[in-house]
Amino acid sequence: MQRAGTIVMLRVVLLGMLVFGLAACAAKPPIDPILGAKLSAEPPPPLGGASLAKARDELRRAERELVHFQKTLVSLRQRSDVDGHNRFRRTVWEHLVQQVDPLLARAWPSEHLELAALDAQLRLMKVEVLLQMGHPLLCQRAINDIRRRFPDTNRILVTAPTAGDATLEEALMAVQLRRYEYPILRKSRRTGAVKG
Amino acid sequence: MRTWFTGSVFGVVALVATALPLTAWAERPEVWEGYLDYAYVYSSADAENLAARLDEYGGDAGSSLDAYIARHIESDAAARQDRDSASQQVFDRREATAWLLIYLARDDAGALAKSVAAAERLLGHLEKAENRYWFHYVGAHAALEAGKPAAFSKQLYALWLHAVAPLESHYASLEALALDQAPAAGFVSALPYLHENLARLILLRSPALGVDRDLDTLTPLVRLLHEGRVGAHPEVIPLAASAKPYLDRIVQRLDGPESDGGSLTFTLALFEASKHHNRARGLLAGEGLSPATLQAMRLASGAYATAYDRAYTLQGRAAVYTRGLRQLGELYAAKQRLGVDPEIEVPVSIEGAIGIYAELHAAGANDRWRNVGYAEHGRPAYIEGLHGLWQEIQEALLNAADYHLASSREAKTSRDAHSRDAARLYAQYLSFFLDYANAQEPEGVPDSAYFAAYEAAKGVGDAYLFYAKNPTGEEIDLAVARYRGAMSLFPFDRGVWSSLATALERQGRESAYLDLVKSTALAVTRSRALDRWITADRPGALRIDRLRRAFSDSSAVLYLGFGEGIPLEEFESDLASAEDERESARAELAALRAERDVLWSGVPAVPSTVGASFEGPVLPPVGARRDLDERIAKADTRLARLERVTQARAHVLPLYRDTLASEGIALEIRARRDHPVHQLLRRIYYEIRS
Repeated sequence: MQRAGTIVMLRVVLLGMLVFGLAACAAKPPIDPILGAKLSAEPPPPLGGASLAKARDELRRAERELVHFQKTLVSLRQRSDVDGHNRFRRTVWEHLVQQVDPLLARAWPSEHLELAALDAQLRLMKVEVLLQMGHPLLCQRAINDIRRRFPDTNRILVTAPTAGDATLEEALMAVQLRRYEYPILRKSRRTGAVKG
Repeated sequence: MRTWFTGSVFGVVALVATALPLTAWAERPEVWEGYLDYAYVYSSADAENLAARLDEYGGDAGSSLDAYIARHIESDAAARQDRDSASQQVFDRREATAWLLIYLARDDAGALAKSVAAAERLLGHLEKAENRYWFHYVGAHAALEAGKPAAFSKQLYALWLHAVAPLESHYASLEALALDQAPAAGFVSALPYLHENLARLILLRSPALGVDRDLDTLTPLVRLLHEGRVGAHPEVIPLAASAKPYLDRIVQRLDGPESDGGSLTFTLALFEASKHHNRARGLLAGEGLSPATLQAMRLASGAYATAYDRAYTLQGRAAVYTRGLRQLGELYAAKQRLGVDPEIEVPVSIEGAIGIYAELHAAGANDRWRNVGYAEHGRPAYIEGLHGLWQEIQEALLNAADYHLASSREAKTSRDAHSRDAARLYAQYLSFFLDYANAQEPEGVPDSAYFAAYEAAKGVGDAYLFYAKNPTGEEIDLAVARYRGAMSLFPFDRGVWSSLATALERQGRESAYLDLVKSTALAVTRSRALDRWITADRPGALRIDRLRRAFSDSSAVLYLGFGEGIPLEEFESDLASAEDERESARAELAALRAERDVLWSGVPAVPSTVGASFEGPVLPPVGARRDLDERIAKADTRLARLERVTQARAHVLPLYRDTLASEGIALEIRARRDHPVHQLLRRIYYEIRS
């Protein structure tokens, strides 16, 4: 009986730690005591000038990188290069986490008059890359995120690797239909045949 | 004396006092520190240049780099404890850089190990972009040296992700304001050099160290470096010193018909093979088939074999075959030209190439060409790939056959064997040509193939008629058939018309000549494609038009067949003498007629009035009259013949003279695969057969 109580207590403590940890992650970054709340917050979205040009360049650069990564993933898959594909998937994952996700984490580019299309294009490329990496669920999650950010996907024009010039809606539909077609490449240990 | 001695002592002491510390004072470690901090500027130089630079910098610093390391880095190991973290990381970075430079300049693997050890001490200080750069740069070199492409790729992506990419946005901002070279810009200003070094590491260093597999994951980096990065700052790195032209060529190959589905590994392997091939070609032009040339050819063959091994798609295999066959064709041409027969193995065969072509051609149906490697590059690249392979098959076959023809002339014992080998090779090309030129979709056949088919058809005829020692009757029959084929493929070569006449002469069928060539001559004169070509004044139109006029005249066609080898002057002098003969025949006839008039002039006329006295006619003797009449009739016949002969010759000679102007067309279009007349031949081929 006493042992059961200890286990319950332990569970409560662990749950509390988990909740605390999650709350800590979700919390806003601490406010600098000297700068104050206003200056510590994310800078306001640029309306023009060098800041806007920089934001535009960042989105374009990130998109170009993903275009090349997607092409290489396709090429490695076509060549049945299992080791190369798996190694490159890890590289691309690191790139997404470190370079792309920080850009996409910002809310304002999706609402910015001049950057929304670029932002949508970058998000679409991320979806295409996730597709080729063999992550259908992450792919779907990213599609849902795009739909949430851009309620009218029929009014945004994008260039998709497979659909070509299309509306965002058409491009998303094209990806959604193919999301289970590119599983992670595996080599059979017995026969050496490539699956996927 | 004492003064002199004292002066001397002072002099020596002063000299020693100044000379001894001179070396110590002249050494300036801060100079090396500066050079090491900016080593990203010159670290990509080739070993020879790098060694020269290090010597030069050693002169500036008053000590060699080795001495600097020994005195100021290794000896300071004990002092490491006393240094703070900030100055220690600078020391470690400089040490890593210094050992790396020594490794690169002298290919000293021990120095690389020391560089790696120093770089690993930077692990705790990777918050600085400069440290991150050198850490991964040294790591990439170590991976290359160890022959580990996966580790190499990992280091390069880490370099890109952690050192290069974070600087790019900032560099663009500073550059926009012309602050990119400002002293406070720090390591950001190194960005153009980082791009350059990265490109050189992938494109130059990895093939040099024999890392020629598993590099495909680096394709995006190469493309990103090509997109407005390498060569984008000529004010910082002049284009002449940049890897930009090299990078351009690699990306062009990646995107072009000679790719292997966009594989960087394959592209680098094929590029490496092409470099060996070009070197062999240069040696061949300069030294002939010398031992050095043969060695270079063997290296190129080996490199092509490696590239073939790396090829995964049909596109890649076709690209290797295209280049490998070029080497084979050059080898045969050299053997023919130089009259030597060296032993050298080529990794490709003509039969293999024809097999690859068949596979590639079959992929054209139902858009399957996308699946064999051309998905990214589109159908034009697929067609270009087919054409490229065809042209090399064509050249290799024709060169090999030409070599055998030339050998048959020189070989005494194997003359027949060589001539029949040549005929077999020409026939192989003709068979290949007919398989695809008459297929449903002949777009995979290049324009130059039709002229090559003419060469092959003519070659078969020549091999039997002029080179074989004792051709059989069947072989002469075949020669006649092939000459007729050659004539229909390229009617503008006078040589083939006369060869046909010679072949018929061998068969005793000279009289059949006109009947056999009439259809071709008619087809040419009635050709709408040719008419449009001449009307539009396309290249060669004037010369071709003259020939066309000759084909419309059977006398000129006879001249083409039987007049070859007779100089034009001889025809002209024949005409002149025929005209002279005609004039003399005319004069003779006139004289005979005058004689007859005189003969009849003694006979009085019959009086016109009735009743006038008339003694009766005194007629010339009957024999004389008959003789004169016969001579007049003969002279008349002769004159008529001479009139006909001179008229015919005078009519045909200008036409024949015009056909002489066509000489050289065959040579011109043989030398240029892209000669516009090739298009005309293609059109005529299908027009005649439609």
